[in-house]
Amino acid sequence: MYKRILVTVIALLLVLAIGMSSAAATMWIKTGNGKPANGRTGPGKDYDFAGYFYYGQAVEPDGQSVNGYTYLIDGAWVMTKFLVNHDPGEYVPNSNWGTNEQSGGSSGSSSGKSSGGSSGSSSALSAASAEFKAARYVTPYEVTTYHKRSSGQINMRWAPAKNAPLLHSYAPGEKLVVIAELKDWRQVQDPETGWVGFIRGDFLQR
Amino acid sequence: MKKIVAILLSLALLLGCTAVFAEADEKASLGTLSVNGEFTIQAKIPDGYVMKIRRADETRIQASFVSDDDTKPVLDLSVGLEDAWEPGSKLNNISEEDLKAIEASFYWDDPDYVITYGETAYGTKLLFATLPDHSVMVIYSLYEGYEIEFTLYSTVETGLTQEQIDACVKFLSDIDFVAPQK
Repeated sequence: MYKRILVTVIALLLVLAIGMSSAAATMWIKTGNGKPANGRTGPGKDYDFAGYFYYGQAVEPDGQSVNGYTYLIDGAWVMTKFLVNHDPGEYVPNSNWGTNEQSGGSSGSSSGKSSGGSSGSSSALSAASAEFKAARYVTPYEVTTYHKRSSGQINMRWAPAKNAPLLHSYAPGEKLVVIAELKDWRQVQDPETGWVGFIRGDFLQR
Repeated sequence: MKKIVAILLSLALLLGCTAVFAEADEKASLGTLSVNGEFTIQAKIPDGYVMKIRRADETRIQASFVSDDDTKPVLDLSVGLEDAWEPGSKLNNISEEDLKAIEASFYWDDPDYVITYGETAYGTKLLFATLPDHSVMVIYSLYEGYEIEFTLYSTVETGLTQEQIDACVKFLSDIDFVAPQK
């Protein structure tokens, strides 16, 4: 009798342990076009936006899956189809995945100043078209602003073109995070303000 | 008689001091730089503008001057310590080679810049880097190893006017580097 109870308890513990380990297993974000996946406050696209999860970012699901969404211990729901159990590495273009629940490209800043997408003026966008063609999202990495003059200003712009509207100016030596690489420009996020914009690559040092 | 002269002199001194303080009151402090000596930068905020200090530490000051009037240019002042310059270096006394290196840094910034030179009312040499459409002008100078850069961004399609540029040169001329009183 005691043996049976003991075996049952051990089996239960094993099942629980396996369940817990699988729930805490690291997974990675892999979207179809290299853009970030949207995190949401609930399991569905009608729930509020809760932050981006970038291509190649390691995440930890807590085991709950509802309506095609999985809850991450970061405190957000993300579409289950964007979770893979291996690091996808750098994004390689020409994948055939869908894009219905991904962010709208180089979308606006959390400061709320953006009118959606990397808008800016149409002339700036036309000048930036070659840049956008080469755009790819990367695993975010930290950079420091650089200028040849100590008084020089590093301009963050709405679009990757020098005539695009100015968002903010940085001094040399400030920390930013690169979230996408274009031809000569980088899409960066300011970790302090959350602003997202474009800075010419030679004004940034890793 | 001597007493009267002494009293008059004291009064004149007091009035003079009051006038100096009144003048100083009109200027706002942007921050204190403390490498290569200690200076507090004071400037008179241009009429109709509000000053926002974006960064101020011992080697760097960055401030923006913005106006509610959309037709007025946005003004950015940036002061930074550059080890390459000896204390005492000014655009007036550096070598031609150094001057070319500064010009090259502007062309690296934007190859379209057109560079000219001018000076403040007190004879301090200034470098002007202007984009051909007059949308942006940078006024650059050196003081005690600090690089000083004043950038004017036009907010209208017609670009910066000569009047706006003259006002900014005056603003730069009137910036005070005030050493602390011992």
